[in-house]
Amino acid sequence: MVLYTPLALEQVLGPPSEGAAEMLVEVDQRPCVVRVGSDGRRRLERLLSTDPRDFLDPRWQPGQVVE
Amino acid sequence: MRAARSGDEPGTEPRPKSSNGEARENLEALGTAEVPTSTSRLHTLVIIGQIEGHLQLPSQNKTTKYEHVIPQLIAIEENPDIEGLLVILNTVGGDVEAGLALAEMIAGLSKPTVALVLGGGHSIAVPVAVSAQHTMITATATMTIHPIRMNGLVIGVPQTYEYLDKMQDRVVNFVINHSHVSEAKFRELMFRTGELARDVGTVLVGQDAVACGLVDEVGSVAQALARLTAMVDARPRPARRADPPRAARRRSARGARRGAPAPHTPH
Repeated sequence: MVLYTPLALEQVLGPPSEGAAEMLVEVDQRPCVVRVGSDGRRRLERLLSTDPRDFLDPRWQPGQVVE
Repeated sequence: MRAARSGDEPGTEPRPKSSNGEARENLEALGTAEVPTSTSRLHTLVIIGQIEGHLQLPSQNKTTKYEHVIPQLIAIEENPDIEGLLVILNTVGGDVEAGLALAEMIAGLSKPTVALVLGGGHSIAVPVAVSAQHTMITATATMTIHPIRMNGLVIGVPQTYEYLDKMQDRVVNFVINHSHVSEAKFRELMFRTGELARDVGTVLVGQDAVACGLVDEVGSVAQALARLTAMVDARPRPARRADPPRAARRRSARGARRGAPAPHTPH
């Protein structure tokens, strides 16, 4: 692997920070990254879509609880 | 998987009534509760954080993953309703292979593409930025041009340097073939000393990137969208599949005789 970035390599390749796991799921037919919070609920972290209108839809707003 | 109803979450707004109304109308008219969503004819690809390669980076990194982006680019090329792509970059670079893969895919799209560098588009983000047919940078955004690095086991043999040099040539060749910067100028920026505190290279801010020919113009969202819209509108409409080939050929021959403008080609 050849990394090409101005960041120090120890910043990029440092030990993984302790945090809740992220996972990729589909929410209403859109791929989304969700994170499991301390309360066990999955909250939408990031919408993976190229359609800018999706980002205005309340179903895919960051922090939305995913069933 | 579905988003939870907002009403379940204390302190949040209920879902808009129009959405429920549309769902009811669809249920009555089409027999389905799914709302057919309209799509924008201009799509946007946002490249943020580290461009992640074949190894998953530790979780403190925000990353753009090629397994997410490559299928999206294929879908954009394949979907006839999508007519143009705006690539927005705010990234610190990352994996050379993954960055070049994305750059080649964007350069290989047949649809109009505009890239806008916001904040930063460093290192391997430079070829990604210039891969679009038209590249813009905001006045305060920066692009760092510097030599590539190697991590992991390094063996002290001439082949190590030759390998690194080849990797660097891949980046340099892509950039000079997809922008107006000359090879001599780009290498001079890459190997310049005295500008970066901990590295060799140059930081280009907004207008500097335009002056050296790397980026086409300084602009922001409105200018980028206006440019992309103009490119989409200037693009000849592809013939519909239902058209008989002979009629299409006759039409194109007529257009050529009348001196129709040549289709837009990427620089």
